[in-house]
Amino acid sequence: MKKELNNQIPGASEGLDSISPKRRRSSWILFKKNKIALIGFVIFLVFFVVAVLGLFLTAGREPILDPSVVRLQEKLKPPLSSPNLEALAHREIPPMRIYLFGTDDLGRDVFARMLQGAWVSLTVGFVAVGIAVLVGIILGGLAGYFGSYRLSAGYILMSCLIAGGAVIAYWHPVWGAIAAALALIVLAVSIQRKRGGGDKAFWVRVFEIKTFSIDTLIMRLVDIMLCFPSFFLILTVVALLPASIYNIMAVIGLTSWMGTTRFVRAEFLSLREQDFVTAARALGLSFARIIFRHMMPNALAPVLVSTTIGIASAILTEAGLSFLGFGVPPPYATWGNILSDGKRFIFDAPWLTFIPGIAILIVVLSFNLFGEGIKDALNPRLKERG
Amino acid sequence: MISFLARSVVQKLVTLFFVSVVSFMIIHLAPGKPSQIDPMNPKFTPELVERFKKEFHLDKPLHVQYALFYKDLLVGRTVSWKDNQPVLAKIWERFSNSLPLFIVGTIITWTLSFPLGISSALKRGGVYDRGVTFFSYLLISIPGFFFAYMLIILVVSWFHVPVIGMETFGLSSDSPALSAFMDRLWHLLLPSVLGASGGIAVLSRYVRSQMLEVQDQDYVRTARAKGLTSDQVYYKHALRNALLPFVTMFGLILPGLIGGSVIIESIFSWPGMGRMAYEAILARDYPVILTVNFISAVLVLLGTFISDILYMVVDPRIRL
Repeated sequence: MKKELNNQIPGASEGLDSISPKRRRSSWILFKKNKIALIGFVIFLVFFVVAVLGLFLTAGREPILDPSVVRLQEKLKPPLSSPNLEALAHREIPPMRIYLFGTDDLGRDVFARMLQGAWVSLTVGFVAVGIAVLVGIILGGLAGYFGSYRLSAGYILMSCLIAGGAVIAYWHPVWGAIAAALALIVLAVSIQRKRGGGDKAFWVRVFEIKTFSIDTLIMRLVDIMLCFPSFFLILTVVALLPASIYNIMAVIGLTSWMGTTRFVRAEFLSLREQDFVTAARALGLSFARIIFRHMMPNALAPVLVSTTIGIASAILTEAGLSFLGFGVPPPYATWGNILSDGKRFIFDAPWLTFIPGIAILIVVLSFNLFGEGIKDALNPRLKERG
Repeated sequence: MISFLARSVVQKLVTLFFVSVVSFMIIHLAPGKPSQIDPMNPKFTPELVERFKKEFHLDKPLHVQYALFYKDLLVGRTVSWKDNQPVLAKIWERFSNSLPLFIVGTIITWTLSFPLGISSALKRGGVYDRGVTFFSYLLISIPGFFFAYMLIILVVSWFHVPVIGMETFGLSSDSPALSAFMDRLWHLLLPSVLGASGGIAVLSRYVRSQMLEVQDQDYVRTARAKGLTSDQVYYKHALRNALLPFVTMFGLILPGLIGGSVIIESIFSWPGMGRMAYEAILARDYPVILTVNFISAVLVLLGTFISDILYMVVDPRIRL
């Protein structure tokens, strides 16, 4: 009980817009004090710059650093070794005249491949978590805001018909069309019911039966998703779908939104009862505006934390998938498949294992520490402790 | 309390039903068919494909397939498409290989993370605490496969013991029992340490935060004001309350039984659950994939149910 009170008082006593810049500044000061988290943030920025640079240096038809040039005569050169200029054709000579991270078993420049892989890791992390956070915010917001609103049977029947029809239409367009027509009929009946007063037929009233609430629906969905062993599920889906980086992003994103949903829902449940929401409602604002403009900014703190940590785990998951051979298809380099290719040479060419391994470790660690730093900085109870 | 339990059971059965539907849909709606698995194989004639389809009901509509599959599963008659072996027997065999990994890993996790978490909470803010924090983040962040290779290099080059597989190949049964035992132990050590590493990090952070939470409570202040020694305050008054949530975690480790890490088991060539699932995915052996999925869903639900019950037993405030 004490915990809840403590959480509510700062939010409740604030006139949000006037005080929040100050609160933000104090959070920033607190964050700066946390040296480890600050280092994490700096590494995160460096990684971001490197990944964007890597995209420019290695993409395009005539990249400056070409990660796919095969130089079989130069294979398994250790880091910092210089190329044998006589043995190479003109276009094979690395522009820096040095193999900064060595070469792999096909003589490809590991530095260029690492740069290419940095962009893959970055985009997979951000897009996957972006999808997860989007789904999480929308479902969590709906569950938290409309928690007690019960769906009528007509609605459920209609959405089942639409969803089922879409699935069936995949094989039998005719049955899909029939389902769509039924959905339209249900829609028509529901609208009629709203307009018309007076006595209604029995079958119209069936549609008005109140069933379960939106909150129950969404939270049961979360429960169902949590029953799947996540890495196994991702592996299954990725293995069944054609190999592509977009599939991986989508699959990781669509299997990791449950945490965000729970956080947002919990925040919304407590925010909903606060005065500023009542005030916004009294002003006659639309519910979308109340949710996104008034409540969401107040619920973002825990989302931000779970986002940074989510990016870290998405990068790890992608690396694991690449390692198992289900990642981004070759010749595209990712840190996971550089390591997976290099593991055969672990005693002859340890850099092929250690460079990508340590790179993943540092990036994931920086995201985790950064997330932890935000969590501490935004936690008002730790602030009081000083 | 009875009504709570009954409601919970019904709810979990409904969830299980939907899980079974969703996993069936995922598998069967994905592009590609198991009958196309090996189109280059000359023995795989169209007639054979037809027979295969008939044998495994693949020519029936989807909902019939669903009903037939789960009927077979519940009476234990499901067979693998790959080798016609009964799935449950296969899973049982692999499960008994994964079990020692799971047990040793869990023991390592629980024995290490409690002392770490408690001591770093007591020395909050100090060098030790920050060291442990950083170390646990290191453990969370390190990719499992990379860590595995580092450990393999370390153990192989320092101790000169073989670590891949479940036991040294060719180690005959007439070798002395002690050396055979040590061999098994060495093979068991690395995969279970790896399996435990993430758990240690997460659990010790959780113990630490739980301990910090409790230290600010009024009853701890009271205990201190009574003039108890700090050992008594920490280990008797604070710790007991801090441990409450962990009792419930006994239920939550249940799903780990079948989780067997795919990556670690394939690195160490450990013939466990994770490897079997991975091979089944590669071979599109749908009955095995679906059965593993179903069993793990059952374990997750059972685990939350047990932890609910444990919570009610341990914490009288929860009891309704």
